[in-house]
Order: sequence, then C-alpha cells, then structure tokens
Amino acid sequence: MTKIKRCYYLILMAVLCLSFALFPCSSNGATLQGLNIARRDKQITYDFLDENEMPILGYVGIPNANAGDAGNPAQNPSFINRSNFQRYKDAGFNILSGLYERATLYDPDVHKALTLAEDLGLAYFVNDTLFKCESYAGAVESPSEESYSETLKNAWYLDYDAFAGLAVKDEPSAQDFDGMAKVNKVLKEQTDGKILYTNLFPSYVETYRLYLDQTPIDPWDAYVQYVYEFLNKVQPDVIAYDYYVFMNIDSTLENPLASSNPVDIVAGEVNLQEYIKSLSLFRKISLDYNIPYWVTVASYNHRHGELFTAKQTAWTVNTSLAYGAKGIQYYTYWPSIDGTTMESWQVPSRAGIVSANGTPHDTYYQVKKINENIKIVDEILMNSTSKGVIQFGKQTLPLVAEDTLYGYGLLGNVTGGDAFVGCFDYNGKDVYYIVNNSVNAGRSTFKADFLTNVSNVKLYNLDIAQYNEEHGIDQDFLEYNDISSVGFNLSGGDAILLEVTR
Amino acid sequence: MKSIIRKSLILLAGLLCIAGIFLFTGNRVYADDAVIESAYAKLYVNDLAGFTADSATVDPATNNVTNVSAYGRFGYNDSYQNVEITSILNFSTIGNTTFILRAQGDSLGTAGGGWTNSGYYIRWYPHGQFDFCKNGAVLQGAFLGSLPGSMATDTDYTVVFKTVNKSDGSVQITFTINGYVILDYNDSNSPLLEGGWYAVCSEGSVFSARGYGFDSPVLNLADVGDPILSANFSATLDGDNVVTSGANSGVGYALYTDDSYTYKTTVTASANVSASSAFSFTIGANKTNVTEINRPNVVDPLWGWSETGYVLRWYANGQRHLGRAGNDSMVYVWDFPTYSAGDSFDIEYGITNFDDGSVRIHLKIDGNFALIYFDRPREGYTPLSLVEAGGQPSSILNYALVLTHSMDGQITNDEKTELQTLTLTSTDLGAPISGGAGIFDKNGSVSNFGGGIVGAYPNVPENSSIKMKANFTATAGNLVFTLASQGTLDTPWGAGWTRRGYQIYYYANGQTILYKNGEHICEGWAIGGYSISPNTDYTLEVGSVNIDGAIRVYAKIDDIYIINYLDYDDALVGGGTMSIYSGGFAGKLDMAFGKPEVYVESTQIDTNDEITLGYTLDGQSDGDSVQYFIDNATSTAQAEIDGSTLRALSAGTIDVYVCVNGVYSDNLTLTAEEGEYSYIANLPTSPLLVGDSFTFEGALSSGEIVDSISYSVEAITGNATIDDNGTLTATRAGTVRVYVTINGLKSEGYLISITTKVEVANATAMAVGEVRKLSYWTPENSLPDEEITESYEIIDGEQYITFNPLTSEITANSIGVFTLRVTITGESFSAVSAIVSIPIEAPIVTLQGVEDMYVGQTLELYPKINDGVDITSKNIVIVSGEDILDIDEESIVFDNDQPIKVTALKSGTVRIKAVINGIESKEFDVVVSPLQATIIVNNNMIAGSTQNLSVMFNFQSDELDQLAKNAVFTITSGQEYARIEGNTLIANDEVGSVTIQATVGDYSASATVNITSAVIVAGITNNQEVVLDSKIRISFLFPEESEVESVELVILEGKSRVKVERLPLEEDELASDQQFLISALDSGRVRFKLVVNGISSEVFEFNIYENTSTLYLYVLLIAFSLLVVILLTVFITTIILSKKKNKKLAKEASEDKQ
Repeated sequence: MTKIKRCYYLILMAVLCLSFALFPCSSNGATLQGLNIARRDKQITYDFLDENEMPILGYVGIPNANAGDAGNPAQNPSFINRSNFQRYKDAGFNILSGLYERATLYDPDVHKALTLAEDLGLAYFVNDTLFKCESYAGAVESPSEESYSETLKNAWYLDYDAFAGLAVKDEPSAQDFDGMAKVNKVLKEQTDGKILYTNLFPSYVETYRLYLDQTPIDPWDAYVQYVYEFLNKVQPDVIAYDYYVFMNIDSTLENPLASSNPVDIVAGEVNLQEYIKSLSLFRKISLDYNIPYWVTVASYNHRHGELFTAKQTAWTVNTSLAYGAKGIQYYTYWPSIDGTTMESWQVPSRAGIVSANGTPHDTYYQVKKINENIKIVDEILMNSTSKGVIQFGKQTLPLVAEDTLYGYGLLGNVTGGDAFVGCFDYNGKDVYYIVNNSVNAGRSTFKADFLTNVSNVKLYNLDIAQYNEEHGIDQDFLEYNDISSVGFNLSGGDAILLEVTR
Repeated sequence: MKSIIRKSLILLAGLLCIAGIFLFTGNRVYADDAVIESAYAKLYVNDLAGFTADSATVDPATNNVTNVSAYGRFGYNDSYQNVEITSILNFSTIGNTTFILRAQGDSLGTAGGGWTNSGYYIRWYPHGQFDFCKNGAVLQGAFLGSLPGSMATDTDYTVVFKTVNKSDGSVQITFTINGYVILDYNDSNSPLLEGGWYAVCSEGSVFSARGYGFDSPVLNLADVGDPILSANFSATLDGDNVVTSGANSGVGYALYTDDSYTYKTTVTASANVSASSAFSFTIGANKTNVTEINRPNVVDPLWGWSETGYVLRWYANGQRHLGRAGNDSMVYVWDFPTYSAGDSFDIEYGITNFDDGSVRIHLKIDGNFALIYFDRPREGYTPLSLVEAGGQPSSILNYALVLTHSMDGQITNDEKTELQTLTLTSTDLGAPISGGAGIFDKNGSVSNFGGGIVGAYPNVPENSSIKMKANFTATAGNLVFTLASQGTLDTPWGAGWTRRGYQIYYYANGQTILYKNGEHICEGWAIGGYSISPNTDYTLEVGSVNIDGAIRVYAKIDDIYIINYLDYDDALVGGGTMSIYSGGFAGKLDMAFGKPEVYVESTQIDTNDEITLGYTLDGQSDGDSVQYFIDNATSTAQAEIDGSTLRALSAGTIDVYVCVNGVYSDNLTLTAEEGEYSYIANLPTSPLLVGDSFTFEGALSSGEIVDSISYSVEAITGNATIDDNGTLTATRAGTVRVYVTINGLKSEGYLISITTKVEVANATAMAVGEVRKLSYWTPENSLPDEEITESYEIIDGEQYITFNPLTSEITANSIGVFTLRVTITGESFSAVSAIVSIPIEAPIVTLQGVEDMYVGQTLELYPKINDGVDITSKNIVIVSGEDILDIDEESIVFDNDQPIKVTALKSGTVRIKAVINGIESKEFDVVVSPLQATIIVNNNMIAGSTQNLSVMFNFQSDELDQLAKNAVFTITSGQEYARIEGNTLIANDEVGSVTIQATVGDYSASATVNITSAVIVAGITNNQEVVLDSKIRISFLFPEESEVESVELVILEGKSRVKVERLPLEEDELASDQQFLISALDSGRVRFKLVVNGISSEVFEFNIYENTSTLYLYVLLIAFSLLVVILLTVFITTIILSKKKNKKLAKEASEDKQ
C-alpha cells in the first residue's frame, strides 16, 4: 500500500510539475526555465549618442578594399572615405557597424573608419575578430573571460570617441551565447555605455539555425526560447532583431496570413501575424527588463530583388516605433558582397540603399525622409513608455491581446482612415504615435477625437516641421489649446505624434 | 616659395635683358659692347658710297632697297678695310640669305658653295642657323651664335657686320642680328685684309632693306658759319676759314651744354708739318660758370695741361693719344695713316655721357674711328663727364696747319647713344676649397705658384664668380680661369682642351681670350694698349651669369670689362668646376679684400646659452659669403654654431673665427662657464598630426629637484596648445616652438613640426560622363595662413578617365575604377598624402519629391542624374494615366536642381518615371485623390457643452488654409438640439443628433454630432471586438462642477458573459474616480451603460470572441482539472477503502485476540 501511495504522490507531483511548466509560459507560448534576468533600473544611456537621440543604423556598412572573404576577396576599391561617410550621415544614420574591416590587433581601415566617424559625429561598432564569438559555436570552447578581459584592456580603439562597442557575430546561434556572455561581461566591466552589438535571427528562420542540434519543438516556441536564452546568458543592454515583413510577396495587409511561397521561405512563416508577435515579444521584454529593442527593417527584398515602396518601408518603421522600438536598423545600406566583382554585388540589381559604388538609389532619399521624421519625434519616443496599441478603422493587424488597448487617456476615436496607434506615457503626458495603417493608401485627412476638451495638444511630424520652417516658425510641431479634436493628413505608412496634456 | 620668387626674378631679369637687346637698333651702344670696342681701340665705320642693287629696286633718296631677288651690293671701296655696316632687313618671303663682306672683284657671283671669289660671308638659314665661310668654304671652328627662333616675315632684323684689321695682322669679324652676337671671330690664318664688296644676297628670300650710316658727311664750312668758332688765338680768320701760320696756336673754341656733343671740321696740314706735328683738341674741359666766350675761358690743350678735361691729339706720324686732365695719358694708338703737308682730313670728335657715369670720347678721321675710349667710374677716378650746366669750352690747337672747319651744333641720331646697364648677380665664391699647384692660406692667398692648377672650386653653382687681387712677378705667361667646366680640376689647355666649359686667358700683354669647349670665341684687351705689368696690383674677376637660354661670361681687370660675352649658342649654363691655372705666370693671388674680425657683445657665456656672432670688416668687401667657425683645435669647450648663433655646450674656452668672402679672421676667444639650464628631454621624432598630442618632459641640467615647472608654446606658422603636464596638442599645421621653464629657468625653444591629414574631399563614385573638379579636405582650421598648393596624381585606372592636372578636373569616360592621390604642401609643413579609389559607374536617374496628390495640387518633382553629368535631355514620362497629370513643359530646365512642375487634373493613379539623357528612373505610382473638405469636430459632445468647428482640406496649402478659415457652418438637421454661433457649436441640454454642414468656396462638408449624456465612458469604444478572457478597465467622466453621488455599471445584455468588478477607491480618490473592471468570460455580445447620479451614459456594445490559443489553454486546463479530479477521487477512494480494510483487519485481529 505504501508503495501505491508513493506512486500516487509521484504521479501527483508529476502532474503539478507539468502544470507549472505549462502555465508560466508567456502568451507567446514558449517554455522557459531558470531565467535569471535582472531588470534594469533604467534603460541604458549610450555614451556615444545624445541622450535623446534614437539609434539609426544601416547594415551592411561601408566596405574597405577587397572586402569579404579573405581567401577570395572582392575586387573593389576602398569606400572608407569622408564622402561616403558624409553621405551615410546625411541620410540620418548615426551609428555604423564595421563588417568587412576587422580590428584584429590593428587595422588601418578600422582606424580610418573610427576617425571619420569621430569627425562626423557618428558612432561606430568595432568588428574585432578577437571578439567575434562566431567560431565557438559548436564544439570549440570560447576563450576564457580572463582572456577576453586582457584582450580588451589592450585594445587600441577604446579611446576613440566614436567607439560604440563591439559588433560580434551577426545572427548568432544559441551556441554562440556563452562566448558573447563573456565578451559582454568584460565590456561592461571595462567601459561605460558601450554595448555588445548583435542582431538576432528573425522568427521565421529555420530552427536548426537557432539551435544547431535542431531541437524538435514548435518554431515559434523555439524562437522565444532562443531570445530568452540570449537575454539570460548574454545579459545584453540592447536587443536587436530583424523581421522583413514584406519579404513574402504574397502577404499583404489585406491578406495578412497568406501562406509563404515555399520557394522563398524555407522555415517559419513570414506574415503579419508573426511580425506582430515578434514586436509583442520584444515589447514585453523591453517592459519586463527595461531593455530597449531595435528593429531591423528591409530596405529591399533580397529574396526577390525588388526595392520596397517608400510606403512599405515607412509602415514597417512606424509600426515598430508605435510598438515601442527604441532603435531602427536598415538592411542593407551597402549591397552585401555577392561575388568578387562589384558588378556581381548588384545581384539582385539595385540592392541596398546605395549602389555597389555608393551612389544613392531612390531608397536613399526615401530612407532619409523617414529618418528625418524620426528625428522630429525621437526625443519623445526615447523617453516614453509603451502602454499598448489600438487599431481604429479596419482591424487588419492580428494584435496580441496583451498589447491591445481599447482606449488610452482621452483619445476617443481616430477617423478618416485606418489607424494604428501606439500609446505611450511621456512623463505623465499621453503620447499617441498614429500610423496610417493602409500601406498603399493615398493621403487622407485623419481626425483624432478626444473624449472631452484637452488643455494642450502638440502635433509632430516632418511635414509640419518643414511647413513651420518655411513659414519661419522655430518649432517642429503645431500646438492647440483647449481642443476636443485635431485633424492631420497622412499617407499610407506615414505617422504623426500627438503629445496631449489633459 | 622663395625659390619661385628667386626664379621669377631671374626670369624677369632675363626677359628685361632680352627686351633690352631687342631695343638695340641702329647705332645704339651697349655698355658691354662698348667695352669691347674700347678694348679693340680700333674700330672704324666706313660710310659706304651708296647702294648698288643688281636685281632689286633702290630708292635713291633713301638708299632703301626693295624686291631683292638675287643679291644687292651695298657698295664697295677697296681702301675701306674696316667697316661697320648696319642694315635693316624685312622679309616678305623667307629663304636663305647671305651677307658677304670683303668680296674681291667686280662681279659677286653667287654666294653658294661654288662661289670662288675671295671674301667672307655668313649664310643665314630660315630655321635660324648660320654658316660662316671664307673663300667659299665653311670655316670650321668659327663660333657662330644663334637667334632665338627661326627667321620670320614682317619683322625688322637689324644686322650689323663689322670687320677690323688688327695690328697683329689678323682680321676681327663681328656679326650681330638684333644685338645677338652671331659671330665674333678672329681670323689670323691668311686673313683677307683688303676691303671689298659688302652685299646682301638672297637665295630664295625676298626682303626689303634699309641702310644706316651710308651717307657721307658733307663738310662745307660755308654751310655752317657758326659764330661760336672764333679764331682769337694766333690764327687768322679768313671768312669761315681759319688760317694759322705758327705752332701752338689755338684757333677757336665752342661751348656745348648737352650731354652729348659732336664737332666736325676739316683740317689741312700746313706746309711745315713735321713728324711731331699734331692736331690737338680738347673737350669736356671742366671750366664752370662760363657765360661768355672769350679767351680767358678757353683751355689750351697743351701737354702738361693741368685743367680738367680730355685732350685728343693726332700726330703726323700716325700716333693718336688721349689724355686726361693732369697729364693722365690714357690711350696711344699708332697704326693709323700718317699725314703730311697739304693733306686734308675731315675731323669729328665728340663726347657722350652715359647714365652710369661713364663717358665716351671719340675721334673720327675721314669718317673712320681713330679712337674710342670709355672712361668709366672706378675707384680713384671720376670720369670728366660730370659737368655743370653753363658750358665747357673746347679749343683747337693748331700745330702749323691750316684749319678749315664746320660746326655741327646738332646731336645727330647716329650719335645719340643709349646706355643699358647689365646687372651681374654672380656670387663671389671666395677662396677655392681645393688646392692645386698653389696652396691658399687661411686668408685666401696663394703665393709663388708656378705652372699648373693653382686652385679649384668643384661643384660650383650657377652664377658664380671669383675676384682676387693679383700681383705677378713674371712678365710672360698667362693665367687661365675655367668656368662651368664639366670635369674636376681640368687642365685648361687652349684649343686642344676637349672638356666642355669656358676658359678665360689673361696674358701678360693685357690680352684676354675667351674659349668655349676649346674654341676661341672672343678676344679682348686690357685698357687699350696696356699690358699687365709685373709687381703691380690688379683686381681680376671672372664669372658667369645665366640668362634665360644663355650665359654671359665675363672677365674684368680693375673692374673694367675686358670680356663680356653673351653666349646664346648651346650655352653651357650649368655649374661645374671653376679652376685657376697658371701658364707660367708666377705671382700672388689674394682673395682677400680685407680681414674681418669677429664681434660679440660679451665674451662670457654660460653653457647652453646662445650668443649672436657678428663681424667687422675693414677695407673692400662686396661679397655676402659669411660663415662662422669654431676652432676646435684650440677650443677647450664644446660648442655649436647655427648660422651666426653660437651655443656653448660645455665649460671652457671657445675660439671662433669668421670667413667673409673667403677671408678668415683671427680667432676670438670666448669663455664658457657651466650654468644651470632647463631643457626638454624628449622630442617627437616625426611631425605631429593636427589633433595628435605629445607629452614633453622638461628637466634641469643639474638634475636638482624641480620646484616649479611650466610649459609654453609659441605659434610660428602652426599652432598648438600645451597643458601644465607638458602635453602638447597640435591644432594647426606648420611649426611651433616649445619651451619649458623650470625653477624660473626658461629653456631654449624647440622647433616642432606639425602636419595635417588630407583627403580627397569628393571621393564618391562617379558616373560615366560626369566631370568633377577634385578638391581636398583637411580638418577645420588645420592649415597655416600660407599658400597651399595641391596636386593630384592618378595612380591607377587612367584609361577610364581624362584628367586635367591644371584644373584638377576629372572626366569619367567609362566604367571602371581609378585611384588617385592628393598631396598638399605649404611652405612650413610637409605634405601628407592619401590615396583613394573612385569607381565609375553607369549614371543613375532618380526622381525625388514624389508623393500622393490631390486634384488641383501642383507638385515639384526633381528628376536627378549623378552630379556633374551634362544633361542633354530631361523629362518626366507618364507611363499610364496620361490624362491625370499635367506636366509643365516650361518648368523643364536641364539642371539637377530645378524641379519639373506637375499638376493633378483628376483623381486616379498615374504611373510616372523620369528620363534623363535617355536613362530611366524607376517608376512611381502617384495616387491622385479628390480634394475634400472635412469638418474637424468631435462627433460626440456632452449635452450643454460647446465646441469649436473648423474645416480642414486633405491637402494643405496657404490658400486652402485661408479658405478653410472662411468656412460657413450651418445645422441642416437637429436644430432643436444645438445651435451655431460663428464657428462654435452650442449643444442644448437634450440628447440627440445634429448634422452640420460647412460651406467652403466650391466645397462643402458635413458631419454628425451626437449630443450625449453628461456621462462619458472611457476605456472602450463602441462596437469593439474584445478577446475572450481579456479585461476592460472602464472609467468615466462627469462634468467637473458636478459632485458624483452615485455611479453604477448596468449590464443590459450578456450579463452571463462578463464579470463586473467595482474597483476599490484609493485613499485620495473620489467617487468620480470610480473604475470598473469587465472580464470577458464568454463569447458573444454584451451591452452596458453607466449611470451617474441617475444620468445614463451612452449604451456601449462590444463583442467577445475567442482566439484559438486561449481555447487551447482552456481545453488544457479542463483536461488537467479532470485529471486532477480523477486522481483525487481515486486517491480518496483508495484511502477510504484502505481505512475500511484496516478497520476490518483490526476488528478481525481484535476478534482473534479476543
């Protein structure tokens, strides 16, 4: 009998354990164990940017001569010069990451890039093979923390004002996290405000790339686990990831859950649902642990060799910002190397924000305009806390319940078109980041209605700032007092920001 | 930079010289040429007897000749052996042209190679070269100069041909064109001494010629009758003729007041002439303040004459003599025709003053120069030309002759002379640094040298000279100087010398000869007729001066030019070895013109202190070669010298001496004492880059403890900052000087060089067809305030571009990559280069400014192609929807920065693209929407409240904004619920709907406003979709002035689907802060309202739906719950059964016990 009793106890305990294992999972559905992630008192302040400046980065950076594979380098001249850096800055970027030029011991290209960045007020992530972390995925053990510490102490680039941190492996696998953890630890110990920079995989990547052992679990759960494992092990101060929502040409806002073209997509679905789920996942992390997240948007469809429309790019950037992203990255700025001749970099043709030789594409001017709009509102967004999102008009986005609001503050309604509204608390004021949610729509007159008169509304966006500038008004916003509604015009994908004092 | 200025000055000087040469026409006289004339002392100009043209046209009035097709003779006279002929040629057809002189015989024939007549000729070839022939054969070895450039049409060429029979039996032939010396040749090998034809022959050229100096003077006493000639001495006057009968009689005098004066007369030797009889003439007698012509003011030209002035004599035995005041005999010339009783001659004598203080005295007999003398300013002598106004008397003394005379009070053009001064800028080299046969001592002297090399100056630069005092003990031999020799210590053997270079021979007899590459090219004589006497001090000077494309080689004796030769023909302009050779001319050479002394303010100096050295120099010194030395052999202290700054390095004595122009001073002894000093212990090994820092370390020489230390920096051309720690940060390129001050002791200044980085500023990719002017970038304010030169060098990829280095413009021609380097240099900092590669790609066309439009809106679109590409065509092409958009053709300007205006005509979607130079941009869709007005109003308002109305267009412009302000609002329905005053909507107390219409110009808009209860529900919108299991937080608004007494949330429908919680109020919250939490429990429709103080809110409706993930969780939860229940049931049942069984067993046991 005792044995039977014990057996029952064991069964009961197993059931309870199972239930605990199931219930702590987030709405994203992954199973997480043993998390030890400290919540930051406040989000990191980068020492390489102005406190209120939103990071904007273009990846791939500006190539050095004969870039790419050392064994079979591309036959290109060096593009690391003042003109190209100036052009990069002129497009509104403020951070650059080294990629082909690597700072092992010393590298003149990295030195020049740091110097140019310093001259132009850009920040620069150094790509140092000694901290690359990529060769340790799998069986090879990464160097010891002491070894990393000693290497960093002797690094020659630490004193450059432009030095923003270390760019380690792009799109790392979970096996790379141990090495990254050591690098990030010594980086935090020895520097102040410098960050370990990596860009996580998107959720639609093949699971085996997240985990080299091909953990046979649900792709989305695997992705959530991958992200939390990164947080848990590496303890980053910033988390960056990419999701190229329009890469699946079959997926549209009108048909958000369209199946992926099997020829294009080899792993998870690229669709609006996962796009929103990803935003929701990183928003939750951002709120739970006070860690900002940066979203990488695609500047061109590298699977189909097509440039996205300005509206598609703007929509992706602005929905990310509405969701609470604190940094924007574009892929690619410079076309990534594809072959040894520069001509071959053009495959697919006209890829990137600039050409293989650095000449601006149309995308350059589109991105420049989007970035200029960010600079109008970044001080507010960088200092605001996301409270959730609301859809007005067509409910095209499959929002996650946790993020969904049905009202926030005194905003009663937004009419005139489909609107996606990010709601924020900005030091006690209500902030609404309103995006024209109809990607292909022309310009419409929107109207935001408040439940009652509000004492002050400030309306920000680039058009207003430019309008003001043309009319000699030294402010980036229009201001209304004691008003119950405010009108504004928006094209598809564009956004305005309302700062409301009740 | 200085080099550029120097070169510019040299070039300018050269140009001035050449310009000066071109100014020389007719009888203009160069001072330098004049020197040569004076050296020969026997130059004659023959007035040829007119021109004879064989196949040309001659103007008898002018003797000018035109249409020369074969040759033309300028006249002949066998007795005229020495002539100087000037003619001006002007070619209409260019061909070989030959100048013949001394041709014998009446028939000239042609001047070609078959010419057999005796004579000299020079053939001038059109390309500018010359041949010199004698008796029809080219005379090898004769030096011929050249003109700069080829023969040209419509150009005046002034040709001067001059022959002189010399006393040694040779013939000197000189030929110049426009002042360029083509030939200056001495023929001593069977020279052609007789006179003959002078002709200019054409071998294909056609020219006109004008002659100078061919008119014979007409000496007619009656023509002049000048009253200022007065026979008031012992002569008698017969009409205008003066007749004398006795010796030593003055015949008359004249006054002149001009700088130049020529007197012509005719004299006839009287019957009693003897060998010692002479005509004597005075000129330039410096009798001042003469206002009246009378005897007391006339100076007699007697031997022993003590007045100032010159006296010229011509003796019957042919001797001529020039004397100067004080019986200063200057020139004797012997070899001229004698005269005897009854001989009659035309006499001309005159004086010409030159700007440099020189004066020329000349005497002509029968039109031929009998004597020319240039009296130049030199030490101890002042030419007698410096006279005051008022006139100088001139007298004629007659020794037993009959004098007829003619007066020419005018200064003729022929005699008008002009002096051009040549500035020679040779650098005196001082004493030679390599000895030969003689050893130069410290004072620059060598004595008792024998034959052979006396000394040499290897590797001398251009424009060098040497000057020395010479005193020869021997009465024969020569002293030879080589200039610009291309070998070291060359032996200057005369004609056999095969080295390249010039040689100047000084002979004991006063003759000087200039050789070039072993060929004799120029000859001169020391002051006419003099020899170099033994045991006499002379000042010798030789040197060369480079002029653009030529070299002037000169030799002087006592500062008078003896050789002054301008070599234009393959001039040896380079430097080389300068050497002195003695050809048995023993004596002493002394480079010293004075012995300098070192001068210092104090002979006491501390170690590491600096003191400035100076010198004093007695006697002559016109050189600028000064160098200070430390005599290490006698000094006991260490010291160093930088220029004239001496720095003591250790304690002891320092002997210093100076060398000025090759002459050394005696030693001056300074005493150095050990002193404490501060210094910088470390210095950068290479120039600092702007922005870089370097930390200097100051130290005390004594090594004592440092109480105070500070650093300072002095900007020179660069700039930098330095902090208290000695860390210098470079801020501007150039040089700075750094000091450290320790315990009050300031160190010397350390010169630090700073450079700056430079980059190609516009190194972005180029497009084919693009033209870009390159520019460079340096950090802001990093360049010194001085001239910066930039240069670009193409390293690679030249085939893809065209590069103009003068304009720094690159034209991209084809796709590829080129690499270039920029270099900038300033006077005070080093160049820094950077290399950059620039790719060239196909041009890309973009279209900027595209955005959605509204009907009536005009948009400015910017089609752009790569900057720098020349735009030949540009437009916006409508791919589809042509009738939607209008393109303003007038706004199309072929410029990247100019927009093309398009106006939306109607709504729809138009697809456009830009096309520039046939290259297309991508296509853009522009959505054109109808222009609409919208009333900006809150569609919900509380009963009894007011709100403002405004209108907004979906396209903003100033015009539309203004239009919107004039909107008129009316209520079209529901007037009972509200009214409008101006643009304010005022709601009544009753709940209802109001339709408002706004009229704005041609547009109108309407909106419906729901006048709702005073209770406003927040946190939800009507007809909202709510996810199952989510929670809605409901709050409300109520007019602030009203106190909330009660509030209830009433579920009107779907009560079972939700759970409503009244959230507790916090301590500081009022009833108006009450919130409710609605939990969505089941899917379906829910309707509710809020009731405040009995007033109902609007009824809200929402729909609860479930999503699959939530359902999954529920299923899982239910399954789990069932599992738990089953397990618990089983468990409890088991326990109960177990307990029952135990009881049964216990009972059985008890019964057993019992």
